[in-house]
Amino acid sequence: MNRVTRLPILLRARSFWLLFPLLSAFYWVLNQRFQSLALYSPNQQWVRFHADWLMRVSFGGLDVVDFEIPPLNLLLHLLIVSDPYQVFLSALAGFLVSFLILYGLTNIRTKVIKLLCSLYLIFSPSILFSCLFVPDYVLYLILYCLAFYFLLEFSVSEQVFYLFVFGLLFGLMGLIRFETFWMSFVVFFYLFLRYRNGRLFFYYALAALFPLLFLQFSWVFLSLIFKGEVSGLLYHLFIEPLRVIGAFSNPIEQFVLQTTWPFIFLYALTVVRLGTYRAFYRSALFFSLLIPFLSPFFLRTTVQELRPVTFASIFFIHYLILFPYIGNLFNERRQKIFYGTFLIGYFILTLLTFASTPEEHEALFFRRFMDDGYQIPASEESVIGKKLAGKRLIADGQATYRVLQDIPDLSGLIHPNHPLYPSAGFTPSAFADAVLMRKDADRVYRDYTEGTGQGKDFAGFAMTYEDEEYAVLERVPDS
Amino acid sequence: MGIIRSTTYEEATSGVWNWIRQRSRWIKGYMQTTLVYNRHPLKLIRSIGLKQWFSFQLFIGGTPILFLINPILWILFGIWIGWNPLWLSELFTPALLFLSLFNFLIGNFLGIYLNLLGAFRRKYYPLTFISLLNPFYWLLHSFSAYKALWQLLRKPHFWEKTQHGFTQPAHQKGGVKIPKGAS
Repeated sequence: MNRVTRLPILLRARSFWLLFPLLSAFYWVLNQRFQSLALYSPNQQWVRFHADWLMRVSFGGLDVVDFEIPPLNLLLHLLIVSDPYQVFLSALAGFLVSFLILYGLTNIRTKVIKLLCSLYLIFSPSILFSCLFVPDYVLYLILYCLAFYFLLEFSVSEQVFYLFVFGLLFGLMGLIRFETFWMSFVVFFYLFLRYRNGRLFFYYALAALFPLLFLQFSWVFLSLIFKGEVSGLLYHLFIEPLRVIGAFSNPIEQFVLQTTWPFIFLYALTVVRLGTYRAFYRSALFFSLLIPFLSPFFLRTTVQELRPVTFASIFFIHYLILFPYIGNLFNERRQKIFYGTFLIGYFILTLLTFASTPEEHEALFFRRFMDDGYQIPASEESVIGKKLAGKRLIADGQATYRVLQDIPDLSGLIHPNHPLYPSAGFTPSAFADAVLMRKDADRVYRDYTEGTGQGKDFAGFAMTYEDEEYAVLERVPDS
Repeated sequence: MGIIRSTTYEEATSGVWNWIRQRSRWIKGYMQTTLVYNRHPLKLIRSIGLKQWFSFQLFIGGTPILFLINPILWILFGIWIGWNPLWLSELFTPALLFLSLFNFLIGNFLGIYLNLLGAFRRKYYPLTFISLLNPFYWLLHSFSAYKALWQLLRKPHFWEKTQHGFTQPAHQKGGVKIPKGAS
């Protein structure tokens, strides 16, 4: 069989089973140290809270699930929030990094590059941050690496088994990020370039994309059954990502391009070195070099929550997987100099971009990472959360999750879908000690303002906290 | 004991009714074998061991049961989607419902995908789109299974025949026509 890399035997290698527990232990130690900082993006916070909510508050059927969260992402967070020791999270990160290190060691010949590549994978703050605080991206990267590998391997060996494995992995990717659907056009075009002569590429496209389409359709179908409507999900799935293209000129995306500019240089150099013949520019290999640059258009997440430093890791990982297929660009001595300089330079650049990222949670992580004594300032939500801890609450969980996530016991929470909610609206003092409201999109706040307008405010409750976003009513002790 | 090769050179029947007759005979064979070997279950366990006994029950006994249950579950699913009656919700507790939905979606997906893989492996590319009809193929099996059950009860010693000779290899086209007859 004509096979370029040695991946199938990689996982059977003894070195993998040595490296995997070692790196998992490394991430476990880091998790113990940093996980309490909870430096999550707003979207991550919602998924975590929703998973926690399903575990602790609502044990109903699928009708209480937020179908806009992709199922594998939700399942992953269910596992993570129910694992207080972060063993699963550490193992996930350990698997990704040990797999990539062994892939590099197996397929790169120059010792210095092997070493630098492994060090970058372990110590790059970009990958470290992803491993600690963006678990769904880590799982996505694992599937991305394997899927991309199998697609390349299929292109070389033409063994349909590889294409089917790619299809399955790609389908699973679509269950972590809905936006993967738009990447199916990239795969379709890739297969078209490779097999455009004849109708074969139609059949190959069917094999490669059927799992993604079937699995995503299944989730839409379940949403229709349990929620009775799919327009919101379809909009979220298919339309919203397209808005990224419209917003391409936003400063965040400009920044993403700035952090990854060395890769533009690296990829351009690779293309120039390989492109001796014009046919190369019409080949699937050339197209595969361009995939990371196309992905911001297809992965809305890259501009919504993986910005900006985390996203940089995908360029590195993509190039690493592609590396054995590219072949030798230079002789060994030049490779040492070129790739060595590139890796060291890029590591320094990642540090610099971390220091100047516009994303608060990424910047806070870096500051804490560099200075152990740095105290992360408490957010407004955590201050309110501490104030409400231990109290029976009326709140809309979907709108106020950023406060509720800091409250350890939510068993006394009455939310708008709770059977007691209508009664609690009439006599709140019998059911709750406090009412938490978010002013923009909160059903409790809407009911409260409507009631107040009709002279029926929450009797026996007084406003104890109010700012631009939140309002808290607390029971007057005598009532 | 051994495993027969997956490639056989027997002509696969191309007519639906002919196919149903063939499958009903096979499924009836499964049913009869299950019944015969379960006349003395303890003796069978002693003879072949517990593990093999389970394998036998699941593979030989489970196959026709699966075909027989399949349309019932489709009907229940249709009723649930259309009317969602209370008795059905009580029957399908959340855990059972999740399991059933998982089996329904993932089972059908894997059935189709494995058929696709088979067609690709043999380079029968035009058959790839036919693989998408796998759930209907299963329903045809169910129809055959009910036919087999009816015959097991009413005509236990009757065995359906499969007519062959509808399809000829390319090199025999225009050559000898195989007469319709028993397989």
